[in-house]
Amino acid sequence: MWRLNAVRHKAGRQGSDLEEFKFKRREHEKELRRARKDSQLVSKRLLLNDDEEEDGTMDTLASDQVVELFNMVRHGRDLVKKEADLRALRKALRSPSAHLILIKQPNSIAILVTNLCGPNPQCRLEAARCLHELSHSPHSEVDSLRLRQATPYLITFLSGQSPKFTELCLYTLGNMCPDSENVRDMLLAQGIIPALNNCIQIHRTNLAVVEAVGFTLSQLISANYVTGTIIPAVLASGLIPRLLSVLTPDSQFGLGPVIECAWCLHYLACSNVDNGALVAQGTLLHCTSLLVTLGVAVAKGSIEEGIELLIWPLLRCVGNLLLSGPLGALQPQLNDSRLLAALCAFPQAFLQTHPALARESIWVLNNLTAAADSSVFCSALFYLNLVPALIQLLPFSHGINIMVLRVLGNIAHQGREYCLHLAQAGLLPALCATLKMADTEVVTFSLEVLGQLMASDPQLAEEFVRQSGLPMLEAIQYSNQETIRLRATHLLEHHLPPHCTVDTSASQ
Amino acid sequence: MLQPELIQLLTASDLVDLRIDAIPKLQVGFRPGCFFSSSGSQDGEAKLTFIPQQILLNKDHELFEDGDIHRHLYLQNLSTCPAYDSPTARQCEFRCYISGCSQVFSTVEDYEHHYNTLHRHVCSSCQRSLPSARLLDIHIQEWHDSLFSILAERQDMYQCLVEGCGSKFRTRDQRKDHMIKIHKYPSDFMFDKVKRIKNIKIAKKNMLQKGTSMEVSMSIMILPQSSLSPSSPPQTNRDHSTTERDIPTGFLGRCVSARVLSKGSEVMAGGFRESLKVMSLRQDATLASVWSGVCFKNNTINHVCLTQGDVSNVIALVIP
Repeated sequence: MWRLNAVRHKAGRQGSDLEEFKFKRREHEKELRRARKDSQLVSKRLLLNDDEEEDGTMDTLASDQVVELFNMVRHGRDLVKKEADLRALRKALRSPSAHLILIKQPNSIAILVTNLCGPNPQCRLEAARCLHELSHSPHSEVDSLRLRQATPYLITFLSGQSPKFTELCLYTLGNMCPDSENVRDMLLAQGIIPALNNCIQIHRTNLAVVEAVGFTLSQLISANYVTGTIIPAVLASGLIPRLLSVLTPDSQFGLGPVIECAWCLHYLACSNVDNGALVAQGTLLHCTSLLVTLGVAVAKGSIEEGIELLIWPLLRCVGNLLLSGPLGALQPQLNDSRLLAALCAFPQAFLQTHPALARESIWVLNNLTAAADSSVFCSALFYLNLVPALIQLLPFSHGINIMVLRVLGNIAHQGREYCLHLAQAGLLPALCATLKMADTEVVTFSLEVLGQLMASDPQLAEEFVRQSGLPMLEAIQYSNQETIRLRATHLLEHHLPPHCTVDTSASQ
Repeated sequence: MLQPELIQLLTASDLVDLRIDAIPKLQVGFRPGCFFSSSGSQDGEAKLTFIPQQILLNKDHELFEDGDIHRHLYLQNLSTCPAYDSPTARQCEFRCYISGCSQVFSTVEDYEHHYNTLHRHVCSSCQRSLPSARLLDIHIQEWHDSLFSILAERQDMYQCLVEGCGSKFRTRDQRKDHMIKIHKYPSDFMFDKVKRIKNIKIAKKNMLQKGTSMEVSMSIMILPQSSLSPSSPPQTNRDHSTTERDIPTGFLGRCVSARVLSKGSEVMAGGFRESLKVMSLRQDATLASVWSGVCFKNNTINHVCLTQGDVSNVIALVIP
């Protein structure tokens, strides 16, 4: 998988390089978080070419050299020489300063486009590479608007037969997608979606191209202010089944294509445009199936590098699709009980490395257990003895314990049998601990769950008292946080057995 | 990392029936008359408001932030193996919810010890914390029950503080004498409640926190048997009268050094804490033997976090 291979190579450097790399990454991460808060989170990809080292030296040419190269391309008649000139130009464009120089030349893009469509395949390739470099430019002047002359051709070439060329066109288009709504409208009008559909069909055995299609599509649908037309167009295009067929990881090629397709599915599902259509085309079935496969892999200990990049979008897709209709209707697609086991396994496996992933996994469990007809899933959690695994997550913050408490609350709400089973699984002592936590929201949820348990059967209230839980409720009565104070008082007044007094001198 | 049961569940052979619809369903619903029926709470103003709810998260939801960042780092070729710099799950901290306390602890045991030591058996009138339920009862009776003083004029109302004794006396002094004579309590045992303790010279010098909200700050120094702490006050006579400037001496030759700070103070001396714990459990032991269990560490002053009521109580038991 070329992306992760590149990463591994970089990580292998020693010493100060690594420190610098880590520092750079931390800074970059902060930038990305800021960008996300401003709804400006955008990424572009640069395809590296075979004849370059990954962090190869850039021959930064002087501006007049760039101009000269371009003029040779413009006026050249000899195709072999032109190919060489284009290659040199492409290499020069690896340096961002050359971008500005080039676009200042009159008709620069038009010339590149001419070569893109020209008779010589090698010239086409080099011209495409030039455009690709420009699409990845850090300069705001080199934007999609400037490159728009190329798009009809790039889109047409998606139905072509050359994988390498197609891949370039795809990534170039993908880089252009996030720039503006106008660009996306233009691409839509020029037929990018049927072209992508065609492309993935033609090149379905070439996983590098499949990955590129996935990337481009994800860029198209994840951009902000996605117009009302893009996602319905995607849903109607026949792309969904093709994306779903990619969801079987190839052990040799790696996770790249599956990751891209999964993120596409996530963006489609969370837009909530027509999730019923997604489900009808089998999305829930395929995604849950893959999650089970990944759960099995995680259980066996084979946690492949980058696997979380795949688990994440799948969880999100499934989580949101669970709201697309009554759970009973979705059940045929959710019939593998190992899904529940996988949803409990991911938090255990990723708690320390990716706590947010653990939280999202529990979120999916919430959506499975909160519906009107969730009783079958709640029963299954007991049958498979998964509740203790959930209870063990209660000490952890980062939103994890709150989500777990939601799930436990959902289960308790099912009925008395469920409450008794929860108590059997050891929930009451765990609640005694969560009632003491610093986060008020945790305490609030704990009181809610506790209230439900005690109300369902008096023996649970007695058990709670036996576990020395009463002092906790009394303590909370003294809190200055009204939400928990009121709830604690309510529990003490309404749900504790009458012989139990507030003075707990008997209990230690 | 992964529990064995989970592993087994996921790697189960194909012969096991894994279908959800094959799993027996537990009965839904509550007993009639249960406060929570399946149709919701019957109480008009229900205090418990949780309802199971499926949650739809859109693309930009904050819950999705970490995953999005991870994805974009990957796209931009900057992901590394997760061992570097990822946010790790934090264990929740614990907080004391007693209003005005708001101390935070990293383990349940620390919190529980704090709570059991300081907040059990609290008098709701004067906020004093007593070491046991019985002493709390006696305290309330003697200090906050107006009927008590009326009755005390006519009958023996002051109970002996030693559990199991049962003797009652007409005055506090009589009780004190009884406890010294019969129960061998030391003569510098303090029987009277001391509500306010003015600053002692040493305390002023050693006062750590400025602008403390506590009215009084007090430093008890009991001299060690073997050595003197650097800033120890001069020894005074054993005197049964209570004066503010009296420094208790040589309680059974052991020493404890404590300083009461305002509510912000955090560190508890191990030995002192131990002794308070013991005190609250073994009410029948004479306080002498309890205090003898205290360890004094290296002549340093161990800061103790106590409420004002606690301190008064300690003094009441220790200082003449």
